[in-house]
Amino acid sequence: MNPNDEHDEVLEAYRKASAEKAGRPTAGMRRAILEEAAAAANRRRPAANDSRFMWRGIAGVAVLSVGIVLWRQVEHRTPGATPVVVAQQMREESKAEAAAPVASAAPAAPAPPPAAAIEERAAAKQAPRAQDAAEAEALLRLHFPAQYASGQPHTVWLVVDGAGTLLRSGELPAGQTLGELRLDIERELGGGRLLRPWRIHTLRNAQGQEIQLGVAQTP
Amino acid sequence: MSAAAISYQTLTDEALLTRYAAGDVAAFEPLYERHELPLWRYLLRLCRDRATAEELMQEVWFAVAREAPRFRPEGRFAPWLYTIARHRVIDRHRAEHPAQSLDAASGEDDEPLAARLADERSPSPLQASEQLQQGQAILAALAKLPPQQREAFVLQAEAGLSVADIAGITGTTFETAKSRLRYARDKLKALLRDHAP
Repeated sequence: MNPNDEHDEVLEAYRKASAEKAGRPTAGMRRAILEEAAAAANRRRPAANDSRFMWRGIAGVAVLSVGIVLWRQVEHRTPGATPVVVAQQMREESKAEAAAPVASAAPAAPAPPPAAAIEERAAAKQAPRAQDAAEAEALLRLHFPAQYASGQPHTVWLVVDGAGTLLRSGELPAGQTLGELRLDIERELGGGRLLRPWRIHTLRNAQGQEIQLGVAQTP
Repeated sequence: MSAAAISYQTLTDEALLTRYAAGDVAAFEPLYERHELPLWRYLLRLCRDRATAEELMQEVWFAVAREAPRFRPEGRFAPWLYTIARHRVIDRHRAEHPAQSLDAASGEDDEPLAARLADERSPSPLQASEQLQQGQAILAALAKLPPQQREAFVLQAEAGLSVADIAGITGTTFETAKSRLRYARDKLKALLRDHAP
């Protein structure tokens, strides 16, 4: 006998009773769900379908990233300098380099030569911790077991030093960005310690939920 | 009925979700209609509280809308939907009962969750007399099953899922899912015999 056959009597009785007693969701809820579905589709549309928007976004992020890297490098080498002073200094150094490259090492606050700056940016891109997805997942399991087992998406972060020692970790509070968090952490660390840019890993946890893991390192 | 509506009726769940993820908003509604009542009853049978079931219903469908682009076309929609739903139920349980562990929420016929979900209040004399009717009796008996057996039975009865799908959704083996279904069926069958006219 097919197990499903002997099940039919019970299933039939249950389905009949369930259909009579369960009722159905309210019309308002149905409307809210369908409206949210339409809104979710609309939120995705520009990024997914408008390639011009996408390229503009990529270009904007690239320009912003280069600007931030340059700003941080200059700020790091001239503590206490105001952005205006730094900008003037950069312009002057740039002129000096163009006129006499050999004498470009400014005496007071030397800016890195272009080649060194490129190397430093490359080093920053190759954050030595959590370089690949497997390592990032291992970090996630180790430091965020609850989020790894969770049935909901999360954004978590951790900060390590140059030797890989964990300095700080946590879950990003709702409404806060990693950029804002970075400033808070730098204030907490004190001593003028600055973080390298966040490396963001998008992972799936044990429940298939999306987990954003931000990893930052002190120089 | 429009030509577009007719064409949606012929599409599979997976095709509808894929179309929706690609920007065809109209593909969502027929998908919702197909699964509205089975999912609603599944949530209601697990929560046994209409307000909670309504909140979870919204959360589940919002998650479907949000996560649609991540649905893998080679997968199947119904198991995916009920996996989301189950996680929401467990999350809700955790939020309301933080002292209980995940194991307590999903373990094998564990007492804490069973105690919460089953037999929350004794029936009044009037309710007791109403339950003599077979339909109500079977729902009352279902509510008294251990939660894992009840969940397996409801997944089969409401969503029409296979034993393998139920095992996948509930994170257990095929044999365990099958035995839960068998126990549930046997208990309900015995009850039906008791209430046979």
